[in-house]
Amino acid sequence: MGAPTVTVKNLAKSFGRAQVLAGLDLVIEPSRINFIIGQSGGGKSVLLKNLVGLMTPDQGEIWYDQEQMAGRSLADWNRLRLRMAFLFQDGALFDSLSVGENVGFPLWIHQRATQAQAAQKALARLRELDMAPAFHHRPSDLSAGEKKRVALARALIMEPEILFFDEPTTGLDPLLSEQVDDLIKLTRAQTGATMVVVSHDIPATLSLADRVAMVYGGRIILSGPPEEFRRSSDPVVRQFLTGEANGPMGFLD
Amino acid sequence: MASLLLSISLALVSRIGMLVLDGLNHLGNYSLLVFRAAVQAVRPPWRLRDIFRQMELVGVDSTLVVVLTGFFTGGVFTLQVIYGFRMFSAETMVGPTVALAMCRELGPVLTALMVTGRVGSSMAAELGAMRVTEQIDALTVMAADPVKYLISPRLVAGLLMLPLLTIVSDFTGILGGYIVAMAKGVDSGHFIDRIENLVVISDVINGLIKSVFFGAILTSVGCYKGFFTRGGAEGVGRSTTSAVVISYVTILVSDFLLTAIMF
Repeated sequence: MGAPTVTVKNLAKSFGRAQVLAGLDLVIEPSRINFIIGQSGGGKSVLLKNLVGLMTPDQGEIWYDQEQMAGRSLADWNRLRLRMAFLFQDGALFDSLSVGENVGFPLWIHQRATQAQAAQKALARLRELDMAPAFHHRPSDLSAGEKKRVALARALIMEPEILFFDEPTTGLDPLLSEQVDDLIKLTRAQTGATMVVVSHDIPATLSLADRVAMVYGGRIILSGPPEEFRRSSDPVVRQFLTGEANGPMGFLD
Repeated sequence: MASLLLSISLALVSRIGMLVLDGLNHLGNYSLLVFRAAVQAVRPPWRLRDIFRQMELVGVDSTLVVVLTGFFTGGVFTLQVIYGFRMFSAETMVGPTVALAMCRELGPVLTALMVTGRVGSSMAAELGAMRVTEQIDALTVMAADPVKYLISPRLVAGLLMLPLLTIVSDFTGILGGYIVAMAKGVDSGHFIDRIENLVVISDVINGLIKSVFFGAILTSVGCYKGFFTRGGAEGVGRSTTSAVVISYVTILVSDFLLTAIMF
């Protein structure tokens, strides 16, 4: 099974009176680096959580190839989740496990690997990301950048076809941000997996993305290659690109 | 004036209605979570390593505090009983009174309250921290049922370890009472003989049955409050506090009901 095409149709999600997604349409192309950008609090992470089934949309459809997933059972989602991985903003490593156990955890639960087998594969993954010396450390002993690398190792251990990244460079210094960007590029090149990156990092978007989709007002206002994004005359896109305070894009609560 | 009274009454009814609905919502979610945890606990594969780890945290690590609580409760209870019984020369009944109080009531209840303070709160805090740092979401996205991995082992550990801790508490409580009774001049033979004559096995077993209920209450409430934590670090603090308060009240209320049914 190859990397799936993800198609989102008319997706809506509200929290109380606040409508975060308002009929959003999006196509995520397989084996590409797809960036979803937009201002903070604009619904990017909510979109991502709907895409992996952590939230249920109020309306709309989420298609993975020919399979509609919105509103499906936990068992259906779990079957699909074996093909995907998710990198949370702060890594979401399990505090009670060592780095090696964190990375080997998916093998341990899904492939019934013995501890020794899981540890061996985890060590190999960590070695690829220069994190092998941290094998026996606890996540609390790691820096933010190291946590991201360990989280990436954990995400890659099951060889997913699609990887979701929730603001992977937020809170990192420029050097670490560039390292994470390189990891995304390298991972795509090595695995051919689809990458879905939620971000508001404009330089990373322009340098890494194959496709960019911008969320504003709960909808996608622009979707295409980075050149299209760069050339856009849409005032909202222009304001986001230039980072000017004055413009049509107001502050969000 | 009448319209003001009417609007105040309506606001009051509305507020009470919302509280009742909120309470029912929590009760429904709690029942579903406990049911899922119970189903996952008996469905293979069993995570024995997780269960043993939780048994260590709930049971082994709580032993010292349970021993101290049981010993001094038995001791101070004996002091009070001797004071009262001496008024009508009934010191020979001190032993069975202390033993019955420990086995039927004080052992199970005090053990549950101490373990709630130590373990129920830490379960709420740990799961709450896992929720706010997205570790529970990470488990879900890995297609690993967080209820199976996080809640079922804790529930099983609570059910198994509370009776064992209660036995420890009963024994140390009676031992504490015996030492105090000896120091106060109560006859050793009377103290032990009367316990043998008047305390029956059902007194001990009913106390242990209570402790199984208490173990289920303190672990399930701690896990429920932690699992559904909202609102960052402040939310974790709120969950921890409410887990302890709700567990304490539920344990005391259920103790009354169980006592009324069993004895």
